[in-house]
Amino acid sequence: MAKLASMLLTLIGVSFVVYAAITYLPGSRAQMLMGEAVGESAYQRMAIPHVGYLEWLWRAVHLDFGVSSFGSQDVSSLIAGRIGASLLLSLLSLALALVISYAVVRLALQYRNPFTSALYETLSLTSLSLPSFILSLALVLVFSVALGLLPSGGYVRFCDNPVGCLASLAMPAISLGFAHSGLFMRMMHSSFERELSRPYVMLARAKGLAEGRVFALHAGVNILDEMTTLCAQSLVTIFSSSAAVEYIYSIPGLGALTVTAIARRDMPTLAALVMLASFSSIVLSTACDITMDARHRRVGT
Amino acid sequence: MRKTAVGMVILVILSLAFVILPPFLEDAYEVDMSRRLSCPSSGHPFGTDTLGRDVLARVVTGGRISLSVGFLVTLMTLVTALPSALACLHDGIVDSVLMRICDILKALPSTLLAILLSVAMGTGVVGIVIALTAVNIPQTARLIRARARAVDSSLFVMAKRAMGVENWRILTGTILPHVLPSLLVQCAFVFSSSILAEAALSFIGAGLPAAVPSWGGILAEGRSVIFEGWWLVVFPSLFILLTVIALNLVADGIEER
Repeated sequence: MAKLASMLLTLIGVSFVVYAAITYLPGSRAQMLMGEAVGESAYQRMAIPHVGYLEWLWRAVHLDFGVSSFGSQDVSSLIAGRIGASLLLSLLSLALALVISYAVVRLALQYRNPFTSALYETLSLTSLSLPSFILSLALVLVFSVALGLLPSGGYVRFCDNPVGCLASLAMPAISLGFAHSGLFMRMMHSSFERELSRPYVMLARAKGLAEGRVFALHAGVNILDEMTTLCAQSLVTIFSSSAAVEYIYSIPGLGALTVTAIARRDMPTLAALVMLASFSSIVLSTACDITMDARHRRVGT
Repeated sequence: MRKTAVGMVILVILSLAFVILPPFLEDAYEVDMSRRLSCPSSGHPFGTDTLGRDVLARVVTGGRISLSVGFLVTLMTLVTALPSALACLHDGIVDSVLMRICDILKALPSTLLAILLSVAMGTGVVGIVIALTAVNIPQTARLIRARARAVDSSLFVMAKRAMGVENWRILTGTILPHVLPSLLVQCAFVFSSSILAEAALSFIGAGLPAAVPSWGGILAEGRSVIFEGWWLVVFPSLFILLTVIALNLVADGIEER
């Protein structure tokens, strides 16, 4: 109950920050779009009608973020039509990040030799230093421009052609997944190392269990808490930072919508996107806390 | 320690190059349509862009701007986060109010918040520096607060208190030096992440205006002509990577010590 209350408070605070940003900050959208040579009256015609905070909040709660200031389309229907592609891409990227980092960390810890530890060190440093949009551009250069293997962009809907959809999401998912795997690698490495030195692992090994079972089932269960928290945070980060990648591969998701909204100085859409991402971040982290509590209560720790 | 040294050497060479080189290069703003999109050659080692501007000159000028943005953001984050974190050393109203604000800012996804702020302030250097500072403050303040509190409750600080050393003396003479390593790591992190964020924001049009040379801006131009001009994508990317790897090496080195 206390968690729900604090969640609500945070949400109200977030809404206030977003409202203040779109209402009180000085950048003039009309001036930006029309240039300096237009009279003051023209600016005023372009200006978004001023809405009070409470009214704005009331509408936001009812998912009414107003009309997009360009193309006069409803912001919520604009978002609803594009959320699928982004969600699919984020989930795929998260899965890839997990697979990559588990493979690298297990190699480094199971076969401790200079080669595997160098592999872990290099990959985690590269992943932390390589932003997803640069990796995307590099992949396009190699696979589309030089080799001509994969299309450089475009998106096929999952319901139309599942295989084609996954093929069109392969490069974006690899870029986002690899760029986010660095954090997972570092975290998994330190957590696994801590768990592997514990007596229960020695017992499991003494019983003659396969290394795979020791890693995945015995040690894995004990690092579940920190991994779940990290997954929840990363999902939101991937979801909200995929704008550049979606733009590069022209995937019709929320990221591409963000880029269009920036170019048109479309504040209602940007505000709605920030609110959506914050809402999912807060709900996910609260859900994480609650499930972890439930699990601990069951285990009795 | 070796990692820190390597990282620092790369950073010093890069920043010296960005400061010294511009007078010897072409004007980064000079448009010449007759030589648009020409391949790297001895005259233009990094080629030219869609308006015939020298890419080397633009990458160097952009690097100067990127590093200045990173430095300013780090400085401003430090100047705001450090005093607020130290003000939260003991429980009280200040602590709970500031930490609540931090919670709220932390719940906002950083990329989107930076985009929103930067666009709302009209894209430009000032807007982007403020936007990125706002994004970095909560995490930095929380980290310093946690470290400072851990030191504050340690035995040697208690001993100093018992000896009657004044509070501000303990703060500057004992707590601050102990917080310093994690503070430096965090600074390197803020520096590298704001260089990346500036590039990403300029890339999608929410950072610096297209006329100003910036790494993200050159990349955005390169994206639209990726089939004709690979050099517009490769060179800025290499410089971004080199800078960020150098900063991460510095941070890793301090952390391992």
